Amino acid sequence: MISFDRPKTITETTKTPRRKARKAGKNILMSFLWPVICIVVAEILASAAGRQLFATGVSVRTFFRGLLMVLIAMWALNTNLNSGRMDFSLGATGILAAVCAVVTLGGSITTTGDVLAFMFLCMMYGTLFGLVGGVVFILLKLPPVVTSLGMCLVYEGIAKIIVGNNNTFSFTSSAATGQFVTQPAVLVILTVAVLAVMSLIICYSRFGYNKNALIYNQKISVETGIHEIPSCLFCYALAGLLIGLYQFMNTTQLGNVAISVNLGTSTAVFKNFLPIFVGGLLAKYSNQLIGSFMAAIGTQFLAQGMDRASALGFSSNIQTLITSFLIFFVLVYMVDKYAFINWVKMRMYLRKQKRLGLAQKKKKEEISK
Amino acid sequence: MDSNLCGEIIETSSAARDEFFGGDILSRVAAAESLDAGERRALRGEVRRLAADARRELGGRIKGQLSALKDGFDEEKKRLFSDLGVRLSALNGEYALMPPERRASQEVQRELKDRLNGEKTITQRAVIKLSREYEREVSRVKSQDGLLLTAEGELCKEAAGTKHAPLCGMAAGFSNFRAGFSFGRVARDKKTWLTLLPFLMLIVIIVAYSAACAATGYKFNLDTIITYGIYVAVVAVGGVFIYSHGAFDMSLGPAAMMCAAIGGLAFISTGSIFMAAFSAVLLGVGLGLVNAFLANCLKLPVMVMTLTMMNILSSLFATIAENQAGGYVDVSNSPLVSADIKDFNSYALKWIILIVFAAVCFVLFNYTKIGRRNKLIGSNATAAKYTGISLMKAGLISFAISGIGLGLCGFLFITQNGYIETGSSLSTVGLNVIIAISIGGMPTSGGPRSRISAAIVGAFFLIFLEEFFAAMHLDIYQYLAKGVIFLAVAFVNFFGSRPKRLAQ
Repeated sequence: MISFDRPKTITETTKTPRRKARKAGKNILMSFLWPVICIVVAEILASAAGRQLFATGVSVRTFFRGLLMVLIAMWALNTNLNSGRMDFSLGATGILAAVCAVVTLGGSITTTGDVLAFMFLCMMYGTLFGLVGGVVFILLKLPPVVTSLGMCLVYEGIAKIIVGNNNTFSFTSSAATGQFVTQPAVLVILTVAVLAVMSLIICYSRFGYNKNALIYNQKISVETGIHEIPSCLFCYALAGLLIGLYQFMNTTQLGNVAISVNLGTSTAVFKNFLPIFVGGLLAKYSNQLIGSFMAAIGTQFLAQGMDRASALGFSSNIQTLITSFLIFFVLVYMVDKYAFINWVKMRMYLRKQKRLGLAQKKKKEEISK
Repeated sequence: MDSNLCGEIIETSSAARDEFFGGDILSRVAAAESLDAGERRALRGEVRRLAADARRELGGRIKGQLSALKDGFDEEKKRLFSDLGVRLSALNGEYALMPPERRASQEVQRELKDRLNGEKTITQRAVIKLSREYEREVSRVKSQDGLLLTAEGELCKEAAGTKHAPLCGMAAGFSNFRAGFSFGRVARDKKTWLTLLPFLMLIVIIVAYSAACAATGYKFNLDTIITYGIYVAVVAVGGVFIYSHGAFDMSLGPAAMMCAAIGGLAFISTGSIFMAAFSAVLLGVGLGLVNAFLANCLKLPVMVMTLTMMNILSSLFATIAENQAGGYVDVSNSPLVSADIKDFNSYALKWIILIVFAAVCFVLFNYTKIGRRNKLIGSNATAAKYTGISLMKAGLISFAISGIGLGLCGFLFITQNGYIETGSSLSTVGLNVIIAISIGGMPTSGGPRSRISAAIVGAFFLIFLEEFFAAMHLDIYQYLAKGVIFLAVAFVNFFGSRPKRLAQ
């Protein structure tokens, strides 16, 4: 499994102020490169379609809500992914949390108080179900993929039992429900809160340090006294909390909870692979949080640009195709940009050696004759 | 255990020949070439009569030998336990002589307990060794019957001048199997139960489904259930080659849909059913090779790569479907060709394709380098690499075989339905394959316990499980049941090989 963080091995003390400034300049440039490229591409696409990137204030607010959702989903997925645990059950955890929250509230979310309660309950249930997933993983000690697939099926099954045969779980809502998360004040508060909490947890807490140590080498970390199980449980709980918040935003926007079975829930979260991997690349020029933030901004702008250029044939399927191919490019670059080139070179070298060997053999045969 | 307890045991078929067939008949058989056909037949009949007498005699002898063995075994076991009793009482006596305050100390008590346990363990191990020896001796004694039958077969062949004596050969084989088979040993073996568990589960679910249908009056076309089971089984059989590496392929469902769509479109273009099948299989192999290239040449993480490939194939399929009239790929009753693709739909064809494909895969997986390499890679990829196995070549072959399964599944689907749309039952095949392989008793980490039968048993179990819940009118519970069973079976499959630390 790839790890998306890199230890900082630069010995700062040996560097002159000029070199330091050059390094900082390079870091800033590289960090902003992806969002800037994406903004330019988005602007070009929108212009080509004869439309503006942001036509109204509503589209700006929708854009920022989308950005926040991408950020939350990618952090939720990345919490376990960069520890080497692919979590298929995240989408199902969020959906089950939202269904339970709606049931707890009696199926009515009309006032601002209801919406706040719904948000709190989604996060609470998300944390609880995330924790359950973590406990199952620890108790069964199966590969994370297997456990998360099983838990995904279980959570989807429970959600289906609660909802019945319907594919959506509707609730009584009002205009306030849908508008809540597009209000600038709410968006700003949520963004700041999420950024602050995540930076505290990832960069300045014991959990963050322990998690990073476990990512690099679990065996050595455990032998030096780091407890892997609490760290793992915390990861699952944090992922559950974040996905609960994501599902809250998604549900209030749609006005219902979409129920999927047979792993259908997992695709919603895996849409965010691109910002995760780009974030992993950008992280080495700043830190994990800023890197992922920049990646999310760029990806969201790209999506916005393609949305605005739908008249040019950028349907949702084409957008998915482009995003998926971008993921491949980023993955190839991340895993080993020289792997394929080296492989081709090695084949050519071996062929040459074989040819030479054959030539020498022929020569020997001729001489012996 | 004393092997002389049961007297002399026949070890070879020639010894059986010498002992039970007199020199007269042996010399007549040796000179049988000069006889005519009738005389030869009569001679063979005589050999058989003599053999029947010999078997009766040998049967009595075997009974006596087994009884002597059993007595010896019981006596030896009794001796071991009485020895244990003596040693235990000697130990207790030794400690009883100690001063009471020393004897009461925890250290001495622990030492005594350990020594007593040690003595018991020694005896237990001796009993286990003795039991194994006893079983071996019993098997040796019983195998005499098989040796006699082999000798009879050889003599019959010589007497009649034929190359084969199938009845004698079969009887000898069965007798040898009976001699080596011990029900107790099989019943005690955990591995046997682990191997049998999926088959037992399949039988139980079929019985439960039948009972549920009878109880609730649920009527469903069994052909439809089995047809979907065949789709899953065909893909899963090919998928075993990938899963045996310890890799996951999440793109199987959309890939099968693409194969079905392209197969259907090829039929419309050419009007040839062979071209439809060929295009579907070719696309399947092509997609498999692309996956293998990305996974093995570019070293992309297989899970992420196949998830992304799943998105790509789903979008491609949706784009193809959007460009068709009605928003789905409909190849039935096309005005472009005179024949209807559904005319080629045949229940028998589906079974034939499944059986032939499974048989070929079974041979490839169990009796060729391909399967052995895959098992080793799944067990330890680094070791496999350093033993000279090309991971890339193995990956390419595995994904290509899996692609053939995808193509066949797509072809069968399009001939059955005549159309394919987004969200059709084929889209869930990928997930069902993962669950089926796991439920079939194959660990998802691959390795030496990978087997083709897991794919077929698991696929049909899954389909009957879904139908069982439908028959019980509890459809909404099937997803939860699937998840719980998946976790439980995966736990059983991994039980002995789970790491001490958390898996990553």
